Amino acid sequence: MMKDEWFYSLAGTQNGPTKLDELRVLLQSGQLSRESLVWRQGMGDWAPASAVAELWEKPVVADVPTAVSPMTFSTPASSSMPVPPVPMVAPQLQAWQMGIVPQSGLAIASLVCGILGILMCYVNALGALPAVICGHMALRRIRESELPMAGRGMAIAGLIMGYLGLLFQIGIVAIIVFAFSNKLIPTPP
Amino acid sequence: MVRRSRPWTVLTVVILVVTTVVFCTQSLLFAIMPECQFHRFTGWHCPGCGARRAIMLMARGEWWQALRMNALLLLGGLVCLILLLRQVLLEWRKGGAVLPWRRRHTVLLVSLFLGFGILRNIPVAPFTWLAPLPLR
Repeated sequence: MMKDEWFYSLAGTQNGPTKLDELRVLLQSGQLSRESLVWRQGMGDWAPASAVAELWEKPVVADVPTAVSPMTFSTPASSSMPVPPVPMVAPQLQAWQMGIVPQSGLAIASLVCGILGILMCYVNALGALPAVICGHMALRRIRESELPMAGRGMAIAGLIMGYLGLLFQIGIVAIIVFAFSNKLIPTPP
Repeated sequence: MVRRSRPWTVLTVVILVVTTVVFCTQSLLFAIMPECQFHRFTGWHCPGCGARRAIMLMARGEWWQALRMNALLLLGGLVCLILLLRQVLLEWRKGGAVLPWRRRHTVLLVSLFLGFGILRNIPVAPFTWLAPLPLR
């Protein structure tokens, strides 16, 4: 019987071993793409994730165990480190075991606010400022989360749009101040 | 029981409420909003210029004219609406919906906005079609 030990390539580095369920979560969260290479003992060679049918089958939801070890992203050098069992299963962990990866709501909010900030003409800051705040909060939350959380790319996009919006806002304020100070337009009485 | 968060559903509801309020109160809202100060001081059109006119024309049912005012708002809004509906359906059917977001999507988004903002200011056809017209 083949071991449930999978290896995957990420940023040119081999990672693993990891279990099938954990690999599915990596794919669902976007940390691995369909083109990412995976391998398990028994496979002839590394293959793209899209070619491995097991990764796309619906996971079987077993009874929630009373003790489960947390997911580890181990490199070959650290794969021998023991993982202590967790006595209670948190709701987030249950959701993860069912293959549901949360997407950061802050990341979504950052992107939406960033887009609105660019569209808001001369009041860009109304959208841009929340975009920047939510973007940084989302990135920190994703980085500190013990379980995988999707939304990093979205948060970065929201940050970029937010900073662009702030740049436009600063620019238009500077133009207005310049125009008034040089009496290019009449000041109100 | 696992409590599921549904951020896409929350976002869609917020957008629907805000859109409804804007459409219902647009004559009051737009009467108190000053003209675009960026256009006033530079003579250029920012990516958002024409959005107010586009919303007013959409409310009148003049969709083609609304597209002329701000094509990015209408076409981008349509794409966003389709994506939102997809995400909401997935959230309720499968319990969760992750919208895959890669680096190329960020590049595309930023390029689209900046490109639209630059192209609509080129005073040569066909780019002049992207610039908004005064509302009659």
